[in-house]
Amino acid sequence: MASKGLDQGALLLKKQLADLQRSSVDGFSAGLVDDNNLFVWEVLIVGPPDTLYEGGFFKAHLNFPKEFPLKPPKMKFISNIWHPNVYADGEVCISILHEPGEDKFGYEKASERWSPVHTVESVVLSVISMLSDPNPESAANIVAAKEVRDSPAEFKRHVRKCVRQSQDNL
Amino acid sequence: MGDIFSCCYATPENTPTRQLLGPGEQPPPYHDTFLTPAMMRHLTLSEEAQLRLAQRLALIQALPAGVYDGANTDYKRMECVICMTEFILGEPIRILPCMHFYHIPCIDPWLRRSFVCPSCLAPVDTALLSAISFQDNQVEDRNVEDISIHSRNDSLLLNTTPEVSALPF
Ligand SMILES: [Zn+2]
Ligand SMILES: [Zn+2]
Repeated sequence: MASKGLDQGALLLKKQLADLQRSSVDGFSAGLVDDNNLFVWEVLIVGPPDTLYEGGFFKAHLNFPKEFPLKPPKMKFISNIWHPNVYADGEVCISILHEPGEDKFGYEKASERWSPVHTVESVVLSVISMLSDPNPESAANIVAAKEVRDSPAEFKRHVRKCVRQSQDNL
Repeated sequence: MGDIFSCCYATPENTPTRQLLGPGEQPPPYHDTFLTPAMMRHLTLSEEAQLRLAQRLALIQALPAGVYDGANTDYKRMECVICMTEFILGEPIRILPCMHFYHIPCIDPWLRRSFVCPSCLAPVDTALLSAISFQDNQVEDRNVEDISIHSRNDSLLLNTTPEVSALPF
Protein backbone atom coordinates (compact mmCIF):
# COMPACT_ATOMS: atom_id res chain seq x y z
CA MET A 1 0.00 0.00 0.00
CA ALA A 2 1.10 3.54 -0.57
CA SER A 3 2.79 5.19 2.32
CA LYS A 4 1.38 8.41 3.63
CA GLY A 5 2.16 12.03 2.93
CA LEU A 6 5.00 13.30 0.79
CA ASP A 7 6.42 9.86 0.23
CA GLN A 8 3.61 8.63 -1.97
CA GLY A 9 4.43 10.89 -4.91
CA ALA A 10 8.14 10.15 -4.62
CA LEU A 11 7.56 6.39 -4.50
CA LEU A 12 5.32 6.55 -7.53
CA LEU A 13 7.81 8.64 -9.52
CA LYS A 14 10.63 6.29 -8.55
CA LYS A 15 8.59 3.38 -9.83
CA GLN A 16 7.83 5.16 -13.11
CA LEU A 17 11.48 6.05 -13.58
CA ALA A 18 12.46 2.41 -13.09
CA ASP A 19 9.75 1.31 -15.55
CA LEU A 20 10.95 3.76 -18.19
CA GLN A 21 14.57 2.75 -17.70
CA ARG A 22 13.70 -0.94 -17.99
CA SER A 23 11.69 -0.60 -21.19
CA SER A 24 12.01 2.60 -23.19
CA VAL A 25 9.06 4.04 -25.05
CA ASP A 26 9.25 5.11 -28.69
CA GLY A 27 9.37 8.83 -29.28
CA PHE A 28 11.03 10.10 -26.11
CA SER A 29 13.57 9.49 -23.41
CA ALA A 30 13.21 10.56 -19.80
CA GLY A 31 15.32 10.98 -16.69
CA LEU A 32 15.83 13.12 -13.62
CA VAL A 33 17.45 16.54 -13.84
CA ASP A 34 19.09 15.91 -10.48
CA ASP A 35 19.42 12.33 -9.23
CA ASN A 36 18.46 13.46 -5.74
CA ASN A 37 15.16 15.02 -6.77
CA LEU A 38 12.42 12.77 -8.10
CA PHE A 39 10.08 15.70 -8.66
CA VAL A 40 11.93 17.33 -11.57
CA TRP A 41 12.33 15.37 -14.79
CA GLU A 42 13.89 16.11 -18.14
CA VAL A 43 12.48 14.53 -21.28
CA LEU A 44 13.79 14.59 -24.82
CA ILE A 45 10.98 14.37 -27.33
CA VAL A 46 11.65 13.26 -30.88
CA GLY A 47 9.64 15.31 -33.36
CA PRO A 48 6.94 12.91 -34.58
CA PRO A 49 7.49 11.54 -38.11
CA ASP A 50 5.33 12.98 -40.88
CA THR A 51 4.76 16.21 -38.99
CA LEU A 52 6.39 19.63 -39.26
CA TYR A 53 8.34 18.74 -36.10
CA GLU A 54 10.01 15.70 -37.70
CA GLY A 55 13.76 15.71 -37.23
CA GLY A 56 13.62 17.88 -34.13
CA PHE A 57 14.75 16.92 -30.62
CA PHE A 58 12.89 18.97 -28.06
CA LYS A 59 13.94 19.13 -24.45
CA ALA A 60 11.29 19.68 -21.80
CA HIS A 61 11.09 19.66 -18.01
CA LEU A 62 8.35 18.13 -15.94
CA ASN A 63 7.79 19.62 -12.50
CA PHE A 64 5.74 17.47 -10.16
CA PRO A 65 3.90 18.95 -7.19
CA LYS A 66 4.27 17.37 -3.76
CA GLU A 67 0.62 16.32 -4.11
CA PHE A 68 1.34 14.17 -7.18
CA PRO A 69 -0.56 12.12 -8.35
CA LEU A 70 -3.54 14.05 -7.00
CA LYS A 71 -2.31 17.13 -8.84
CA PRO A 72 -0.79 17.17 -12.34
CA PRO A 73 2.80 18.09 -13.19
CA LYS A 74 3.65 21.19 -15.16
CA MET A 75 5.49 20.63 -18.39
CA LYS A 76 7.73 23.25 -19.93
CA PHE A 77 9.78 23.07 -23.10
CA ILE A 78 13.36 24.17 -22.61
CA SER A 79 14.00 24.02 -26.36
CA ASN A 80 12.45 26.74 -28.46
CA ILE A 81 9.22 25.41 -29.88
CA TRP A 82 6.55 27.07 -31.98
CA HIS A 83 3.13 25.58 -31.35
CA PRO A 84 -0.38 26.92 -30.68
CA ASN A 85 -0.63 25.08 -27.37
CA VAL A 86 2.75 26.09 -25.94
CA TYR A 87 3.23 29.44 -24.21
CA ALA A 88 6.05 31.82 -25.04
CA ASP A 89 7.92 30.61 -21.94
CA GLY A 90 7.62 26.99 -23.09
CA GLU A 91 4.82 25.91 -20.77
CA VAL A 92 2.59 23.30 -22.32
CA CYS A 93 -1.13 23.93 -22.15
CA ILE A 94 -3.11 20.74 -22.69
CA SER A 95 -6.28 19.81 -20.90
CA ILE A 96 -5.01 16.66 -19.20
CA LEU A 97 -2.49 18.82 -17.32
CA HIS A 98 -5.37 20.85 -15.86
CA GLU A 99 -6.97 19.85 -12.60
CA PRO A 100 -10.68 19.19 -12.59
CA GLY A 101 -12.33 22.42 -11.45
CA GLU A 102 -12.47 22.44 -7.69
CA ASP A 103 -15.74 24.35 -7.60
CA LYS A 104 -17.46 22.11 -10.13
CA PHE A 105 -16.36 18.99 -8.31
CA GLY A 106 -15.25 17.32 -11.43
CA TYR A 107 -18.32 16.82 -13.52
CA GLU A 108 -17.71 19.03 -16.51
CA LYS A 109 -15.29 17.72 -19.09
CA ALA A 110 -13.65 15.54 -16.48
CA SER A 111 -12.72 13.21 -19.31
CA GLU A 112 -10.25 15.76 -20.63
CA ARG A 113 -8.73 16.66 -17.30
CA TRP A 114 -6.04 15.33 -15.04
CA SER A 115 -6.59 11.96 -13.40
CA PRO A 116 -4.21 10.28 -10.92
CA VAL A 117 -3.74 7.30 -13.23
CA HIS A 118 -1.75 9.46 -15.66
CA THR A 119 1.98 8.79 -15.70
CA VAL A 120 5.08 10.45 -17.09
CA GLU A 121 4.61 8.21 -20.09
CA SER A 122 0.96 9.06 -20.70
CA VAL A 123 1.65 12.78 -20.26
CA VAL A 124 4.58 12.81 -22.69
CA LEU A 125 2.64 10.71 -25.20
CA SER A 126 -0.20 13.25 -25.00
CA VAL A 127 2.27 16.03 -25.69
CA ILE A 128 3.65 14.11 -28.67
CA SER A 129 0.12 13.76 -30.00
CA MET A 130 -0.38 17.48 -29.38
CA LEU A 131 2.63 18.11 -31.67
CA SER A 132 1.01 16.00 -34.38
CA ASP A 133 -2.37 17.57 -33.91
CA PRO A 134 -2.32 21.20 -32.74
CA ASN A 135 -5.51 22.57 -31.25
CA PRO A 136 -5.79 26.23 -32.32
CA GLU A 137 -9.18 26.49 -30.58
CA SER A 138 -7.57 26.65 -27.16
CA ALA A 139 -4.49 28.63 -27.92
CA ALA A 140 -1.62 29.45 -25.59
CA ASN A 141 0.34 31.03 -28.44
CA ILE A 142 -2.22 33.09 -30.29
CA VAL A 143 0.10 34.08 -33.13
CA ALA A 144 0.93 30.45 -33.84
CA ALA A 145 -2.77 29.55 -33.64
CA LYS A 146 -3.63 32.25 -36.18
CA GLU A 147 -0.86 31.02 -38.46
CA VAL A 148 -2.20 27.46 -38.34
CA ARG A 149 -5.55 28.73 -39.59
CA ASP A 150 -4.61 31.62 -41.85
CA SER A 151 -1.02 31.24 -43.01
CA PRO A 152 0.21 27.66 -42.84
CA ALA A 153 3.35 28.52 -44.82
CA GLU A 154 4.37 31.03 -42.18
CA PHE A 155 3.61 28.52 -39.43
CA LYS A 156 5.74 25.92 -41.18
CA ARG A 157 8.63 28.37 -41.52
CA HIS A 158 8.54 29.12 -37.77
CA VAL A 159 8.35 25.45 -36.81
CA ARG A 160 11.16 24.38 -39.14
CA LYS A 161 13.36 27.09 -37.67
CA CYS A 162 12.83 25.58 -34.21
CA VAL A 163 13.59 22.12 -35.60
CA ARG A 164 16.93 23.31 -37.02
CA GLN A 165 17.75 25.09 -33.75
CA SER A 166 17.00 21.92 -31.78
CA GLN A 167 19.39 19.95 -34.00
CA ASP A 168 22.15 22.53 -33.54
CA ASN A 169 21.71 22.43 -29.75
CA LEU A 170 22.00 18.66 -29.45
CA MET B 1 5.47 40.28 -26.27
CA GLY B 2 3.81 38.66 -23.26
CA ASP B 3 0.31 40.01 -23.79
CA ILE B 4 -0.23 38.24 -27.08
CA PHE B 5 -0.10 34.89 -25.34
CA SER B 6 -3.26 34.50 -23.40
CA CYS B 7 -4.03 31.61 -21.14
CA CYS B 8 -6.00 28.88 -22.79
CA TYR B 9 -8.55 29.31 -20.04
CA ALA B 10 -9.22 32.89 -21.08
CA THR B 11 -11.55 31.98 -23.91
CA PRO B 12 -14.72 34.06 -24.18
CA GLU B 13 -16.87 31.18 -22.95
CA ASN B 14 -14.85 30.91 -19.79
CA THR B 15 -14.66 34.59 -19.01
CA PRO B 16 -17.15 35.40 -16.28
CA THR B 17 -19.74 37.89 -17.41
CA ARG B 18 -20.38 40.82 -15.13
CA GLN B 19 -23.84 42.10 -14.40
CA LEU B 20 -24.11 45.75 -15.34
CA LEU B 21 -26.64 47.98 -13.66
CA GLY B 22 -29.42 49.21 -15.94
CA PRO B 23 -30.60 52.84 -15.92
CA GLY B 24 -32.33 53.77 -12.67
CA GLU B 25 -31.18 50.59 -10.94
CA GLN B 26 -29.72 50.92 -7.49
CA PRO B 27 -26.55 49.10 -6.63
CA PRO B 28 -27.19 46.24 -4.23
CA PRO B 29 -26.97 47.13 -0.53
CA TYR B 30 -23.70 45.31 0.05
CA HIS B 31 -22.00 48.19 -1.76
CA ASP B 32 -22.19 49.91 1.61
CA THR B 33 -19.68 47.46 3.01
CA PHE B 34 -16.01 47.18 2.25
CA LEU B 35 -16.69 44.11 0.19
CA THR B 36 -17.03 44.41 -3.57
CA PRO B 37 -19.70 42.32 -5.30
CA ALA B 38 -16.95 40.10 -6.61
CA MET B 39 -15.68 39.51 -3.10
CA MET B 40 -19.19 38.78 -1.87
CA ARG B 41 -19.67 36.28 -4.63
CA HIS B 42 -16.42 34.67 -3.67
CA LEU B 43 -17.44 34.39 -0.03
CA THR B 44 -20.78 32.89 -0.96
CA LEU B 45 -19.11 30.38 -3.22
CA SER B 46 -16.61 29.34 -0.63
CA GLU B 47 -19.37 28.74 1.91
CA GLU B 48 -21.24 26.74 -0.66
CA ALA B 49 -18.03 24.91 -1.53
CA GLN B 50 -17.51 24.08 2.14
CA LEU B 51 -21.00 22.70 2.39
CA ARG B 52 -20.53 20.66 -0.75
CA LEU B 53 -17.23 19.36 0.54
CA ALA B 54 -18.95 18.21 3.72
CA GLN B 55 -21.60 16.47 1.64
CA ARG B 56 -18.88 15.00 -0.52
CA LEU B 57 -17.08 13.54 2.46
CA ALA B 58 -20.31 11.89 3.59
CA LEU B 59 -20.87 10.50 0.09
CA ILE B 60 -17.34 9.09 -0.05
CA GLN B 61 -17.90 7.36 3.27
CA ALA B 62 -21.10 5.87 1.88
CA LEU B 63 -19.36 4.21 -1.05
CA PRO B 64 -18.90 0.48 -0.66
CA ALA B 65 -15.62 -0.53 0.92
CA GLY B 66 -14.02 -3.84 1.66
CA VAL B 67 -10.74 -5.62 2.01
CA TYR B 68 -8.74 -7.14 -0.80
CA ASP B 69 -8.87 -10.89 -0.36
CA GLY B 70 -7.09 -11.93 -3.55
CA ALA B 71 -9.56 -14.69 -4.35
CA ASN B 72 -9.11 -16.12 -7.86
CA THR B 73 -5.96 -14.13 -8.45
CA ASP B 74 -3.48 -17.02 -8.37
CA TYR B 75 -2.52 -16.35 -11.96
CA LYS B 76 -3.00 -12.62 -12.04
CA ARG B 77 -1.53 -10.11 -9.70
CA MET B 78 -3.53 -6.92 -9.42
CA GLU B 79 -2.26 -3.46 -8.73
CA CYS B 80 -3.90 -0.25 -7.62
CA VAL B 81 -3.48 1.99 -10.66
CA ILE B 82 -3.13 5.11 -8.54
CA CYS B 83 -0.06 4.04 -6.55
CA MET B 84 0.98 1.31 -9.05
CA THR B 85 1.46 -1.08 -6.14
CA GLU B 86 0.10 -4.60 -5.97
CA PHE B 87 -2.77 -5.16 -3.61
CA ILE B 88 -1.85 -7.11 -0.52
CA LEU B 89 -4.29 -9.44 1.20
CA GLY B 90 -6.37 -7.62 3.76
CA GLU B 91 -5.75 -4.12 2.46
CA PRO B 92 -8.76 -1.82 2.71
CA ILE B 93 -10.20 -0.95 -0.68
CA ARG B 94 -12.99 1.29 -1.94
CA ILE B 95 -15.25 0.07 -4.74
CA LEU B 96 -16.75 2.64 -7.09
CA PRO B 97 -20.11 2.15 -8.88
CA CYS B 98 -18.21 1.30 -12.10
CA MET B 99 -16.62 -1.59 -10.11
CA HIS B 100 -13.12 -0.19 -10.33
CA PHE B 101 -11.50 -0.38 -6.95
CA TYR B 102 -8.50 1.23 -5.27
CA HIS B 103 -6.74 1.42 -1.93
CA ILE B 104 -8.85 3.61 0.34
CA PRO B 105 -5.88 5.92 1.14
CA CYS B 106 -5.29 6.29 -2.62
CA ILE B 107 -8.83 6.94 -3.85
CA ASP B 108 -10.45 8.94 -1.05
CA PRO B 109 -8.20 12.02 -1.37
CA TRP B 110 -8.88 12.00 -5.12
CA LEU B 111 -12.65 11.77 -4.65
CA ARG B 112 -12.48 14.85 -2.46
CA ARG B 113 -11.09 16.68 -5.50
CA SER B 114 -13.05 15.10 -8.30
CA PHE B 115 -16.00 12.77 -8.13
CA VAL B 116 -15.04 10.61 -11.10
CA CYS B 117 -13.36 7.25 -11.36
CA PRO B 118 -9.67 7.84 -12.20
CA SER B 119 -9.60 4.87 -14.58
CA CYS B 120 -12.79 5.09 -16.63
CA LEU B 121 -13.74 8.67 -15.72
CA ALA B 122 -17.31 7.60 -14.99
CA PRO B 123 -18.95 10.02 -12.60
CA VAL B 124 -19.43 8.53 -9.18
CA ASP B 125 -23.14 8.82 -9.50
CA THR B 126 -24.65 11.00 -6.83
CA ALA B 127 -28.15 10.15 -8.01
CA LEU B 128 -27.45 6.55 -7.14
CA LEU B 129 -25.86 7.53 -3.88
CA SER B 130 -28.65 9.78 -2.75
CA ALA B 131 -30.91 6.76 -3.03
CA ILE B 132 -28.78 5.17 -0.32
CA SER B 133 -29.74 6.32 3.09
CA PHE B 134 -26.26 6.24 4.49
CA GLN B 135 -27.41 7.66 7.80
CA ASP B 136 -29.54 4.56 8.13
CA ASN B 137 -28.45 1.26 9.55
CA GLN B 138 -25.78 -0.91 7.99
CA VAL B 139 -28.24 -3.47 6.66
CA GLU B 140 -29.02 -1.09 3.84
CA ASP B 141 -25.35 -0.55 3.12
CA ARG B 142 -24.86 -4.28 3.00
CA ASN B 143 -27.70 -4.61 0.49
CA VAL B 144 -25.97 -2.20 -1.84
CA GLU B 145 -22.74 -4.14 -1.52
CA ASP B 146 -24.53 -7.40 -2.22
CA ILE B 147 -25.85 -5.98 -5.47
CA SER B 148 -22.36 -4.92 -6.45
CA ILE B 149 -20.96 -8.31 -5.63
CA HIS B 150 -23.55 -10.17 -7.70
CA SER B 151 -22.75 -8.04 -10.70
CA ARG B 152 -19.13 -9.17 -10.50
CA ASN B 153 -20.14 -12.83 -10.67
CA ASP B 154 -17.34 -15.34 -10.53
CA SER B 155 -14.63 -12.81 -11.20
CA LEU B 156 -15.26 -11.68 -7.65
CA LEU B 157 -12.07 -10.53 -6.04
CA LEU B 158 -13.55 -8.66 -3.17
CA ASN B 159 -14.65 -9.49 0.27
CA THR B 160 -16.64 -6.54 1.46
CA THR B 161 -17.26 -5.73 5.05
CA PRO B 162 -19.51 -2.91 6.14
CA GLU B 163 -17.33 -1.85 9.05
CA VAL B 164 -14.41 -0.94 6.81
CA SER B 165 -15.66 2.62 6.51
CA ALA B 166 -14.43 3.11 10.05
CA LEU B 167 -10.83 2.68 8.91
CA PRO B 168 -8.60 5.73 8.65
CA PHE B 169 -7.91 7.10 5.20
ZN1 LIG C 1 -3.07 2.40 -4.18
ZN1 LIG D 1 -14.17 3.18 -13.22
